[in-house]
Amino acid sequence: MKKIGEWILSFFCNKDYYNDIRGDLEELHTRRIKETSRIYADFKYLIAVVMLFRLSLIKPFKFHFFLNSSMINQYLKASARNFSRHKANALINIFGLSVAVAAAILLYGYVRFELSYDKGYDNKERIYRVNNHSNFRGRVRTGITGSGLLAPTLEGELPEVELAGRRHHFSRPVIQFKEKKFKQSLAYYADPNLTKILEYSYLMGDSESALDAPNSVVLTKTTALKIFENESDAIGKQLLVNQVAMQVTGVIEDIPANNHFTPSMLVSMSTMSDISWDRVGTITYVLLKNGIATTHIADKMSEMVERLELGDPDNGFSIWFDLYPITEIHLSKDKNQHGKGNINMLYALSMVAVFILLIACINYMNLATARSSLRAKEIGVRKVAGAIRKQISFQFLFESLFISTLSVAFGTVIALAFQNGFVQLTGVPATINFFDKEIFILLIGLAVAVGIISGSYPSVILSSFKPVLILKGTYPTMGSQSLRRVLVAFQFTISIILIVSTFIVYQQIDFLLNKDLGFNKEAVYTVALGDPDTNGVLKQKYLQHPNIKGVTSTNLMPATGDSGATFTIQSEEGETFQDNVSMATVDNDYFSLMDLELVQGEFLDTSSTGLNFIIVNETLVNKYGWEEPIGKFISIPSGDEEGSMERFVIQGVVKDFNMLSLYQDVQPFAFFKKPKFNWGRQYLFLKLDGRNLLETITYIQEQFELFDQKSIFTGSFLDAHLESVYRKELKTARIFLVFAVLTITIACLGLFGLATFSLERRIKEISIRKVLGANIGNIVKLATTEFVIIILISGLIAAPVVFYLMEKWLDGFSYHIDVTLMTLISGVLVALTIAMLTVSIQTIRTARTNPARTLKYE
Amino acid sequence: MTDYKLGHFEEIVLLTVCVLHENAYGVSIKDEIESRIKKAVSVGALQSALRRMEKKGFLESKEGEETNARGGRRKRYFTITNHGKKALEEAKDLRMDLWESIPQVVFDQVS
Repeated sequence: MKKIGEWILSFFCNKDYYNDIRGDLEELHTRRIKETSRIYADFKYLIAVVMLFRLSLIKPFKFHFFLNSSMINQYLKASARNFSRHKANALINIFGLSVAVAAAILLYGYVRFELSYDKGYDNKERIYRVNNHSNFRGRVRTGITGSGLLAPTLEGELPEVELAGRRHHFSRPVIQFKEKKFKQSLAYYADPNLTKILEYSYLMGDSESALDAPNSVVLTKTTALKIFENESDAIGKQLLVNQVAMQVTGVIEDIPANNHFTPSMLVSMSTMSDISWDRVGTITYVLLKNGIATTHIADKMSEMVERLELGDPDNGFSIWFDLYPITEIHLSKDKNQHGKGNINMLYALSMVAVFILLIACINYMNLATARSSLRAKEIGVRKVAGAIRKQISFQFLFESLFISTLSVAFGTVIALAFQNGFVQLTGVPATINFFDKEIFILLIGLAVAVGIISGSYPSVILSSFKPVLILKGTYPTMGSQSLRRVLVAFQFTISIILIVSTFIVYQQIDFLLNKDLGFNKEAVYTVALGDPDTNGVLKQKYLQHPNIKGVTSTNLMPATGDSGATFTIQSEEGETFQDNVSMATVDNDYFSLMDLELVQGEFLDTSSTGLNFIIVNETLVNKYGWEEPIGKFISIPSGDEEGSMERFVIQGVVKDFNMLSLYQDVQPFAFFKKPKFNWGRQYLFLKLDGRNLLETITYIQEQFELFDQKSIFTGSFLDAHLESVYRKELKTARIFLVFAVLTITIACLGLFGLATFSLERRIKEISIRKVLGANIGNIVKLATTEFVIIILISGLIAAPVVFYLMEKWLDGFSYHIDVTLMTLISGVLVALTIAMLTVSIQTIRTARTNPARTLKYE
Repeated sequence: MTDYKLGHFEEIVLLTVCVLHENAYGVSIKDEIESRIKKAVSVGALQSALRRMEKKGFLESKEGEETNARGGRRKRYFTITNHGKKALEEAKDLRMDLWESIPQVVFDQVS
């Protein structure tokens, strides 16, 4: 390590000072070794060297004499002439680089946007969200929601907390203003502290008092403009929100899209009447005072829990809290934080950006070195006329910088043009402001980096030519042929990795969508009820329609990841145990309509005693190894009064089905009939016979609106809903697809250039072979064998990488395909085919030229 | 008028060079300052200050004996010049002048 430091120092340090600075460092180093360890001393040495990088101590810049303007003019002219003489070559370089730069810019914008989540608050370092943990007799729950009393308590009890604010989900509001009636998503109860902590700015209304009184509403600008002509009209107006009159007391600026919490409207917290320690669902945010450590606060909160006796240790119930920084929520790997971002995806996309750029740079390198003999005479003449090696290498570096600057300019234009498309592709509103200073500096940096990376190797090679040899007419082989092959192999390795990954992502999604879920999802239409009381009458009405074959009601929407509720269950069969069981409430028609397969026992019947019967799935039975599940009891807390349990008899067992999500294994599941457990949203599932679809659905909607004037009709087919659950994966797949296509295109562009050039040079050889009787097939084989071998080797290198990466991705799903050799091979074949097409087209064209034309000048 | 401008750090370095009298070279100056201000001083900051002041003419330097501890390199000893002395005096005078102009009442108020 010290050696590196010495080398760096000798590189930049001013000669006059070098010796005694070096002496000083040496002395300190020997002393540190005695006092501490060698590693530490070495480390300090390196740090000191880096810190020595100061204007007053570094070597004076020596601008070499070759840097004068007329020469640069001359280089520009030479470059321009070279481009116009070999247009195709220049076009390949510029086009490839531009596309790569555009891709990199867009990906940069995406990654930057994802990283910018919740970084816009002035006090971002001091804002935290509270995690609620509880342990009830061994059942540990961690979540962001908790009691609505937590925020005021924290603010009152802990002097370290400057502000504590809260929000609570406002369930499915339907807003009515005069004739306008619409559903509004993302509505929340909130208190004034929340708007202060999250630094919302009020356009209208008073930020202090707007959310004080019950039934006050604050709208965002967009929401306000949905109802009113302009936002100033909104203040003081009465809205009907779910039939309750509420007054608009404020309009706030729209919440930036890169906030983890983006409400569209806020209802005053005081509207909620039943805030208590028992009612959970409220999310608490705190703003700490300056310089408070979170560990300190965690201790204080534990003390507070004890002091106020919030837990109930005698009954085996304890709670505790901790804080989670707001800036880390979005990309959090902790599932409890519900971060929507995915840090691995950001790593993957950053890598893709770098690799695409590298692939385009390699194109330039390969083409420049391969074609160097075309420039040999120019170099020879320059050298004879007195150019030194530095000048020649500068000339070629200048040329690559010229190309890279052009490409960055074009790339920016391309990025601008495709920005909207990219936003649609990723679903992230990551638009780039090209007038931003940071972006500008980045683009310049990109131009320089790309120019130097792609130009340095060619410039070293080209400037090394010996003028005597060149001018005599012997062209030395320029640059190493094997290095070129290695670079091409690298390009295709990356391309194959991306192609195969794309295949696998698509296969997995296809697998998820077509997997037998254990229930019937075809031709099932779901209607979300706004008013549970309309359940019975709607069911009757729907059954009257000739095209509706069955109707059932339930509170479980498959694959929403939420099964209604989980409960602690005790068996009264000798031993007792507790477990979480997902549950749903259904009626008698459910099982036949959903085609659930009965393994043992019978389905729920219509008798009144049937209320206390349940149907469980095989997983639950297998978990406890019950030989005779029918007639076994399960008790769950009845919720009537403290500690009372209600007993249920297992009446039937159904075959496992997958209603939650394919990310997880089948969970123990129980179906209840008892209306008491019928909480959450109610759905009617309708089995249609598939005829007169449009008319049937219109009928469904009309009847719904007839009996429920308050709510707004929401209906969808079950299979369409299931597909929408995997939207995130589909998005991933599409992004991969786009960039896989881009990489292979750019890689093939380079291949095309190389092939064209080598064919040009071998045209005479090919003609002679033709004269001697070779056919087109022989010639194509001659020209392509090399590339085939390179691509096969790339496939071999890519295989383990893809295997490792994709296995990791697939591990996120309980149900997933395996990475098969077939997929790997087909990926390689795709790359091979595309590459062969590229090369063969050019080869066949060359092979078909009349040999007489090329040979007649000999 | 000649430029006697001194930065805070430069002033400390210059004073330390005087304190160390005949023994002021890189490492000894660094040690002395660190022992007084109780903060780490990087070689870079110190060297750049020394060179800057040498250029301004506040300091002059000569090479000393070779030592083994320095990998056979000579120490470079710094001594203050007349010009440097003037700069220090000017800085001190300015301060004294300011101190004496402070009305007593100001400090009474803060305490």
